[in-house]
Amino acid sequence: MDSRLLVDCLHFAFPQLYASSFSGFYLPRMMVLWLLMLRAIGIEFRVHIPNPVWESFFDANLFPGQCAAGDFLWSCLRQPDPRSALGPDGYFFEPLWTNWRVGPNPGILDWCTVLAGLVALAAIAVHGALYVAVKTEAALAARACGLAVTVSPVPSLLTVASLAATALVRPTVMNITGNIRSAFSCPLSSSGHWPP
Amino acid sequence: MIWAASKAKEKLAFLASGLYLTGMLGGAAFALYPTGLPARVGAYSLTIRNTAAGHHGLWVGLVGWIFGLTLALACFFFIYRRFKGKVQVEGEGY
Repeated sequence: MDSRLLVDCLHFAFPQLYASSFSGFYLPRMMVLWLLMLRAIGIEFRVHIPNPVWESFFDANLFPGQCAAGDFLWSCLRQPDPRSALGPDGYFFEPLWTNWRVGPNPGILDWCTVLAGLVALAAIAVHGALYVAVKTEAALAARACGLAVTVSPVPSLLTVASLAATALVRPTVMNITGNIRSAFSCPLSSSGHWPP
Repeated sequence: MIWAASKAKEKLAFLASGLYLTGMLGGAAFALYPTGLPARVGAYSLTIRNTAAGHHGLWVGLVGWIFGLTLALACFFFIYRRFKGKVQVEGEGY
């Protein structure tokens, strides 16, 4: 409830941003919700039916649900990098994918957003393995820690590749220092809409 | 992170991983700032300025956000304090 309240506050503080982005990205956001439900079903039902067949089935639900939800979520968040087809009315629609290229006719998913999704997937996988290592002991902790060490170079390499891709596709977003300066000075300096 | 994990310093490695994720999300937000949803035609881009609600709406949003953040932090601390420490692999389960 509390996190929902946080999101809702942002929605009614910036209503047009919410309306445009949610309607434009309706299908991928719904897909993230479906995948999260699939993950929850995997967690919830696995221990209630003590049968190897059903346990394997729910394990199989859990793993792709978790992976695809993380990948899709970050792809959706990252989507604004290749610019959307927003019109003067603030409305846009993009298909889930077109030709997987960043160009005049992009879809929600293209090579750049999929790369960003893979960065998130690898980083979250390492984070999860380290959390398991923190919360468990003995052999399981050692296995989780070993897995994290083995997989750690992957998010690092993918991050470098993703940064290079972003610099290639949309070089203006690399001016992050100036953006940070203006982001923190904005509430102090502006006196328009912002609360004084 | 890799160094800490290879030395079996799990907590340090986990913190480093958390910092990396925070940096990744923060970097994406600041890279786009002040644009929320960029358009191919720059004038149509939605920014925090041209999509902001009125003065009253922003005030209510700010107050509600602070309230919600306090609740979220309280919930976070309660849950992680309640379940702190190592879990037992054998024994009680959900």
